[in-house]
Amino acid sequence: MLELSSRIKGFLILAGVLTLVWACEKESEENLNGGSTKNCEVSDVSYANQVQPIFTESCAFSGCHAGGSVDFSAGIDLSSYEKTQETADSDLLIRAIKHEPGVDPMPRGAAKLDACKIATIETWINEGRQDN
Amino acid sequence: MRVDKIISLFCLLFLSQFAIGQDDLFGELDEIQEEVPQYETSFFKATRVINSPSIELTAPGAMNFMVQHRFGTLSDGVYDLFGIDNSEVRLAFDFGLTDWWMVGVARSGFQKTYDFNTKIRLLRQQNGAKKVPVSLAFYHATAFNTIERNPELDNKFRLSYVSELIVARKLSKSTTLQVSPGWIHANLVRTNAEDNAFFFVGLAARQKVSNRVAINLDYIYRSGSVAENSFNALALGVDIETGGHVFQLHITNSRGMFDKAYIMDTQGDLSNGDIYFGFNINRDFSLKKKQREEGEEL
Repeated sequence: MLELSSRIKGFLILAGVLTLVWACEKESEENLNGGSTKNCEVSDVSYANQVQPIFTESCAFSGCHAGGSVDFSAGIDLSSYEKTQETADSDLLIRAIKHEPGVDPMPRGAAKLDACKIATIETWINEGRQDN
Repeated sequence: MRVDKIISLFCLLFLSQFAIGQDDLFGELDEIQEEVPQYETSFFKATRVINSPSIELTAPGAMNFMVQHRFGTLSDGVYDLFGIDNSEVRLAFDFGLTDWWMVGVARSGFQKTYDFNTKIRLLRQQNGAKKVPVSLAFYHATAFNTIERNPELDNKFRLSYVSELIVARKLSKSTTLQVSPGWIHANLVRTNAEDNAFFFVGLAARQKVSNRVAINLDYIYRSGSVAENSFNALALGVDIETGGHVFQLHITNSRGMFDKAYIMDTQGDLSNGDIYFGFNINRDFSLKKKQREEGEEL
């Protein structure tokens, strides 16, 4: 009986703690970024408005593909258009973000980019990696 | 002669009283034995089936240290040694507080995530005088990812929660089935089309092939609207118990090992051959001095 009561007590304490920490929010990255991916528009891709924001959000961090850390990231720097042109191989880039065999899947330790972001980068590469 | 017969009769009557007394004693012993609960034990060899939590708890006063690895796809070929070059790691510490309550903390490389979990045993399967058909446990995990984001992300959007009821039944000494209906909530998802919260059902099975080896199956069915590039997690593995350790070797389509990762972010498409090799290594450490000394004496 003592065991049962302590069990119930423990369960109630835990339920209370869980209720307190249950800080539920309902948000999407799509809303936070102020854009919509429902109608993914990739016919006329802008590097400044579409591609670099993806690199900035998912790749160009210290410790990854930015600044002084690129020695540890295959020498690839995605922090600016010029650095991207100098260091990023198109084939390697697209295979990494598509998680194709034979390359490290990117972003490392994070979820795969959504289909629209991958399509945006792929279109930018296919259109000649312009600075537009 | 007559006196002898009387003495013999008297002795027989006297001894028969002992025999009756013996019956009563055996009866009492049987009753006591029947009252001792006959719990089913050893449903699984570890506290995780493969990805999902199992009905098992870490023993009271003990700490279970679990190292989990998931490698790249087997289809990476020889260049990446069939995925060995690309590994994800989760280090987990589970603590048994009582015989019905354990808590755990873990850190995963995937999304640089810390997860805190607890499991409470509510009911134990019994086969004695009192029959209880299943074992029940409640499991909850809260995960917090710390992956660097630009622009910086509000901490509340880094949280996710998983709660589930684990129902397990040992069908025989070697076969276990487990069903785990649950609820998951992530404060942030990628697109508006995805549900922040939905129900899921975990299905698991264990078949022992010898005293030290068992085969495990682990599957998560999800309801609701999920990310278009995510899939239901499936895993098939073998558990090998070596005395001090439990080695769990498996193939799965999930690289994430904390609950939100394998439920919401499994990105391996089985039809595309995205199968990852992985393992869990379990080792129990006794934290109570008395238990340690007893262990050393043994």
